[in-house]
Amino acid sequence: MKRILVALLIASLMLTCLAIPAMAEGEAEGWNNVNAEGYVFPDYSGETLSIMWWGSNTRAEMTEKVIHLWEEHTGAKVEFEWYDGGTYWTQFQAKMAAGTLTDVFQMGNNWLTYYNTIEPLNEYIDEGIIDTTAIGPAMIATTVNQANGDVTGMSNGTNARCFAYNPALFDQAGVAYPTATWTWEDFADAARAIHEVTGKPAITTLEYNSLAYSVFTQWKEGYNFYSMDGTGFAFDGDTEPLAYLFDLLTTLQQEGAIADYGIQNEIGSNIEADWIAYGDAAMVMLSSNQFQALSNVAAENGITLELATIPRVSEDGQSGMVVRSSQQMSMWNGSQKKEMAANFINYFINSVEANKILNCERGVSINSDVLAALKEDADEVTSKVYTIIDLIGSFPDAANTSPAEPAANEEISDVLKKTYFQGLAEGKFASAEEAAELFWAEAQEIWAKFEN
Amino acid sequence: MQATKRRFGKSAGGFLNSDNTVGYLFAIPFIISFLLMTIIPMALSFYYSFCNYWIGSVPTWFGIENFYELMHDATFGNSLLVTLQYVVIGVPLKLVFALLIAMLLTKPTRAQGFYRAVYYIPSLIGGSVAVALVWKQLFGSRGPVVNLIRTFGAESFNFFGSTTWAFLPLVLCNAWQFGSSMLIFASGLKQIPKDYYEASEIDGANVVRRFFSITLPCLSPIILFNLIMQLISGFMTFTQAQIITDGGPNYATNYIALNIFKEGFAYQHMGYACAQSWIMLIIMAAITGLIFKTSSHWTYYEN
Repeated sequence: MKRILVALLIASLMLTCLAIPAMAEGEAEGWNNVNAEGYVFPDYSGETLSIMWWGSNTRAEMTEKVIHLWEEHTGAKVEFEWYDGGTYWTQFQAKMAAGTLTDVFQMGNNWLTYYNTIEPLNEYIDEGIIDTTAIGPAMIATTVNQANGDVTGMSNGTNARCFAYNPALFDQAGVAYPTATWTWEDFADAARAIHEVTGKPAITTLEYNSLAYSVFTQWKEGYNFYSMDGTGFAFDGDTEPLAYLFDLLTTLQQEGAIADYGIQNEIGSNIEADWIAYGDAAMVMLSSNQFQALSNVAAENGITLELATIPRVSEDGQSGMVVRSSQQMSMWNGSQKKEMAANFINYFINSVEANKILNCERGVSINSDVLAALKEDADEVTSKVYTIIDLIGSFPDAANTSPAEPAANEEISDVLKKTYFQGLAEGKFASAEEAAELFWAEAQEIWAKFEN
Repeated sequence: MQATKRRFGKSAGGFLNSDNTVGYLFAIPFIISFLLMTIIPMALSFYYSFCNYWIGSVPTWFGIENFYELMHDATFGNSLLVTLQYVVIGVPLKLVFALLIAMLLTKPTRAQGFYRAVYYIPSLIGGSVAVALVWKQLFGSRGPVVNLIRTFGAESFNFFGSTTWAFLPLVLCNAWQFGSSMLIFASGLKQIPKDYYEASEIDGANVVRRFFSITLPCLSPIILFNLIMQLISGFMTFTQAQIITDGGPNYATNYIALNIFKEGFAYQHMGYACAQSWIMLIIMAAITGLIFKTSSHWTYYEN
């Protein structure tokens, strides 16, 4: 698979070289660069564009500001709606079934599931309406359908799943801070020590499916949960890594060092409600782009948070972490205003002015000009995000993920958490090994349902 | 000429004035919405239940595959069980509550209307997301109820973290919305002739005796009505489970409506979800039918 990627990269480089003379004849490359001096915005007076996204309050405030700026520039009116991460997909499906999706919508790495609603952006990129002069091919590749080369959206930025922690509670318990290569044993020791001192769970939010992916990659070189091309599993039916994770987390939870599933569900996808922001927990697992929203709430309570990597199985083993597109702006293929939508996406992704407001809260910008401008005057919290993304990007296995989540993923990850993790905690399985075996059997069954 | 006109006018007027025309005319809004919102979706869902279908796809015929798979689906079986638990505990609780408050409020006082309105409010707002969020806070891991229980020694007690107790706040939330049953009970209580009570009082029957020998029998048709309405709404419970517990932990509150929603919208098995909803319909119809059948033995009609 890596070879195919390299070949793709070389091919796209060659194509760019070939395209340069051709472009010189037609419209100048980068003609729609919103950052160019004297750039004239298209006039959309009297027209309306609709947009929807998911996210926190912090995100909503920032996005609304950017929308108003674009409205001022173009004279357009933008109708927007936003939901929390859970509600979004229900709304999305209802709109999809009714054929009333918004012109532009935020899309996750689950875009394969909603593929038939998405307008490929290749044409708009080729024409230069969506300006990609400052976006590297590797960044565009994070949202490309490997099967046919369709660009399914423009990435709002890259992120990585990682841990945030409260150093004050680590100090209080007298345990060392996480290092770049800390292990699951270090994690367990820290969680126990902190729980002993505070009497509260040391960690409240864990993403069980992504932890499972990480541990599979960490276990043995070449292992992955789903294969890179998204056509199946990639761990040879080896259930040992999963049994290891089942055992580790369930034991810690039964000791009280990890919050029970009720607490975890209460917090849900609402990162701003996590206990760590109120000084009641020491660690949380999150996506790096959620760190700002979390830090905002923590700061109100006088708490400063830091970012750390996901623990490893062994110190000198693989990291099991990935840098990927956090989410993307996609265009509805039923939209009546595709050019306008492309122009909005162009502004949203590329504008320095807009991204100074958005401040990489959705992910670290894929546009090098934007990123350079943002890094110049980054505040302390955002700098931590840049640092962790740079660190994870330096791990050799950090590109180990497929751009698309398979359609079966939603059910497989739900079953992993609710049937097996929660079932094991309830004593419904004789051992972690048995739970892992049974999960593997059910995961294959679920996968088969999507084959026909 | 004049005559034809008059005759035509007369027959058109006759058509417009006929009771049937007027009746259908007024019923049209209902008929249209009933077709669009109930009959057509039901027919579609019946068709989809025999198909491999997800939202946005073209349904392909699957035969009874969906129903066959349902028989081996442990999650679905569990959903049926926990829904039954919810209904068996929740509905009687709600009816007892409703009858109790209705009886307290039958004494004609000036504030009667006010109290009835106050007790009815939960029924108006109870199914809403906002109330579910309030209950989530109230019974949540840091809520006042849990804190109170913890002061009695159960240090790590948490409703929503326990497969044994997670259902209780949901049942209470449902029971709290007793307003509509209460109003129906209240009007039923008014229908019971006063002479019965006076006569029994003279014969020396105490309050308990009067309740069981007069109030309950006379109220039995109303109880039947309320029981059936509440059973049906109990089987369809969804909002609280979705918002408060998301069906968890370990499917302890994964009620059938929530399970259907998950299969259809999250896991992309809409055909399978439709099959589940038809099974649910059959079960509900069977239970309702059973209650109707046996009702002649325990309801009492005065006439």
